[in-house]
Order: sequence, then structure tokens, then C-alpha cells
Amino acid sequence: MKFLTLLTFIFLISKSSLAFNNEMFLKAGTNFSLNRLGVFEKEEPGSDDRGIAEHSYFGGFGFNTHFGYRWERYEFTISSTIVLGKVEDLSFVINENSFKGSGNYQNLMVSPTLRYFVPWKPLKEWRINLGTGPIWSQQTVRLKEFVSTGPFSGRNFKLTYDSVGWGISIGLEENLKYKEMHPVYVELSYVRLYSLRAYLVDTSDSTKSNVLSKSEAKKDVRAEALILSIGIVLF
Amino acid sequence: MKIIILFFILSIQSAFGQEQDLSNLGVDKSRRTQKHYYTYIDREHTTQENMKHIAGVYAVTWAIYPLTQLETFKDDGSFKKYGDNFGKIVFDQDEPFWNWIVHPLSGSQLFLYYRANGYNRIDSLTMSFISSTLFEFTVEIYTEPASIQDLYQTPILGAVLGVGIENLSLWLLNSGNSFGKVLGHIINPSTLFWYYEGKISLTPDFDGKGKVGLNFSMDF
Repeated sequence: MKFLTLLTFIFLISKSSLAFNNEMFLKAGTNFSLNRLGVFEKEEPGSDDRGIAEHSYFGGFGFNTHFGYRWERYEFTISSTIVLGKVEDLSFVINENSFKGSGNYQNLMVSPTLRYFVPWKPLKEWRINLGTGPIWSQQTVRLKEFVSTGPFSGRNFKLTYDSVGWGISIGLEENLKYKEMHPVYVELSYVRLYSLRAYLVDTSDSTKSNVLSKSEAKKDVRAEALILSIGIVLF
Repeated sequence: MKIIILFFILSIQSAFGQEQDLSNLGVDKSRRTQKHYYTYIDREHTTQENMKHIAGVYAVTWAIYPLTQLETFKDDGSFKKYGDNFGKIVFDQDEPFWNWIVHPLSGSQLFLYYRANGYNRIDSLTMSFISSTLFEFTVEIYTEPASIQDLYQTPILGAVLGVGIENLSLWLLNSGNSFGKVLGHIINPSTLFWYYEGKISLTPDFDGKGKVGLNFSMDF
């Protein structure tokens, strides 16, 4: 009986939502992150077992956008988050060429995301939401200072990793009736990514992309990030 | 067909009767007089109009792409590649200059084109999304496969940038000074063309007896 009462109560609360709904929208903002980049390496020669050989922890910043549709309790968005940072003293291998050094890190994540606005409202002016979705990502390390076993030197090289993964989030959004009032959102998300393919790219000619080497890189690089996003509903 | 509609007539009755000093009439002398007021007027569109715009933009992209990237089009393009790339989607290896500057800039102008044609912001974004997706999947594949970055960033970052350009250009265009107007038109060229629906003519009116007014008229 108590359970039924609780369910009824939650249902009634959920029906009294004041926030905008049944509309398409675009929201955008900035994000700050704590990232961990791990490079996998075979544990023993000839073995398929892999372990993380090195880690790099670094802070990042960037921006995020979310375009989608909102119902009363759910919203579905195509979201993008860009993270920029710096990595140091990591080793990467593409085919037979290994690289050890530092560089600028850039992670572009695109994700179809489903968010659920929970009926519970401990903060009167804010709505709590929970979100999740798969992620497709391109991680780039723009090499600055490195040593290579191959014939590569200078600053005109980047390593890119096509990656997949997933993310979960918990967020707050201002409970406003119209999106034209530009509700503010704050979201904390955790993402985890695994590399699928790796590319070594010559960047000396910015008008053309010159891929020097491409290889399968299943789980060669694993990235995790805790991302704090803050922004507004633009329209 | 050109219809001129008297949109709004505003009359301000002076509190000081026959006194013809404009400051006493509540007229802000620090503001420049303007012939036109620039804004955006959102309206509904028919499916036929939507199709016409999509087709028009699509035709223009087929003309602009080879013209702006002639070398890439000649060196890297072929109909064999078109067939190979059809339906393929990848992460491209382009530099940030292209993905974060050129594509969002072109997306912003596409967004402002639709805004100038009377689409509201969310519809302009949706129409830009359709136009840039058509370009990625059926035009650019002549030289390279469709890319996830371009598919997303062209319309979305373009719309974010477009809103900023829209606000800044309206402020500049309505500043009343010629430098502001020129700059406003440069950053938002759609405001110069015949299809721009937000240009309102302003005609000041003063009857010499203390009544001042402003006539608004709009061509569409």
C-alpha cells in the first residue's frame, strides 16, 4: 500500500512539471575535465593479453553542444563534447613505428544521448536528470616533443585514434517554463573509450590530410574522463 | 508582386503643445536617424517552400564546391571515388582550421540564409542540418567520404556561431552609422539580398504642431 502511495505521489509530481517540453532545442556550453589516458601493451611476447602500460592524467577544457527533442520526462539529443589538453611521456605504436613523447591532446566525442528527468525535486528551481549513451570518438595526439623508431621528427605529425565507448551523466537544469528564458544546465559525466583504429598523419600541408600509416588498434588506447559541463539552452 | 503594408503607425503626443523643441517631445537626439530597421520576422513555411530552399541550396553547393576547392576537385575527385564513398561515413583527418573554423563559418551563413528567409532559429538549424547532410552524402563524396565531424559541426556549431553573428549584425546594422552598416552586412551578407524579410523602412513624420510619428513599412 505504501509503495502504491509512493508511486501515485511520484506520478502526480511528474505531471506537475513546469519546464518546457515537446520542443526541439539546442543547448551549448563549456566543459572542464579530468582525463586519464592509458596505453595498452601486450603483457608477454606472443600473448594476446593486454595490460595498461602507462597512464597520463591531465586536465582538459572544451565545449559541448546538444541538439534534440524534449518530451515531458525524457529528452533525446545528438551531443558533441570536445576536450583539449596536454599529455606527457606516453608511448604509442602504429604498425612498426613507436612514438614516445608529449603533445597536445584533443578528443571529439559524438553521442546520441537519452536523458530522463526524475520527478524528485529536492531543489525547487532545478530539475535533476540522468543520462546515458554510446560514444563515437576521435582522439588526437599532436606530437610536439617525441622520439620515434621510424623516420619521423619535427612537429608535423599527429596520431589519431577512432574510438568507441559509453558515457553516463547526472545533471541539473533550471526549471523554467520557456526555453526562450535560456535555462542553465550543469552536468557531471563519466566517459570511457577504447580505440579501434590508429592513424599516423602528416600535417605539414593543412589543405590535405596525408595519412602515412593506418593500423587496427583494438584497445591500444583507453581513455576515461570525468567531465563537468556548464551551459545554457540557446534556443 | 510587391505589396507595401503600413505595418505600424506610432504617434507620440507632446506634453508641451506647440513647442517644437525635439528634446521636449521626448525624442532622443543622441540617436541617429535611420532609413531602415533590421530584424528577423519568423513565419510558417509551406512544404513547397521548404523543398524549394533545399533544392536551391543543394544546386548552389554543387557549383560552389568545385569552385572553392578546384585543386582538390581535380586531383582527388572522380566518379569512381563517388561510387566508393557513397554511404561511407568516417572521422576525417582534417586540421582544426577546417573542422572548427571553415565548416562552422559556412554553417553559420547557411543558418543565416534560412533566418533571412523567415525561418525561426530551430527551423533554420533543422534546414541547415538537412542541407549540409545532403552536401556531405551526395556532393563532397566526389573527393572524400562523409565525415562525422562535418555532419555534426557544420550545422550545430554553425547555428551557435550564427546566433552570435545574427545579434552582432543586427546591432551594427541598427547603429545608424555607415561603418556599422557595412560591417553588419559583411558578417551577415544575407541581409543584403532580395530574400531577406526583416528589412523595415522607417519614415519619420512630424506635423509641425507638436505631433511626431514613425511609419514602419515592410516589403515581402
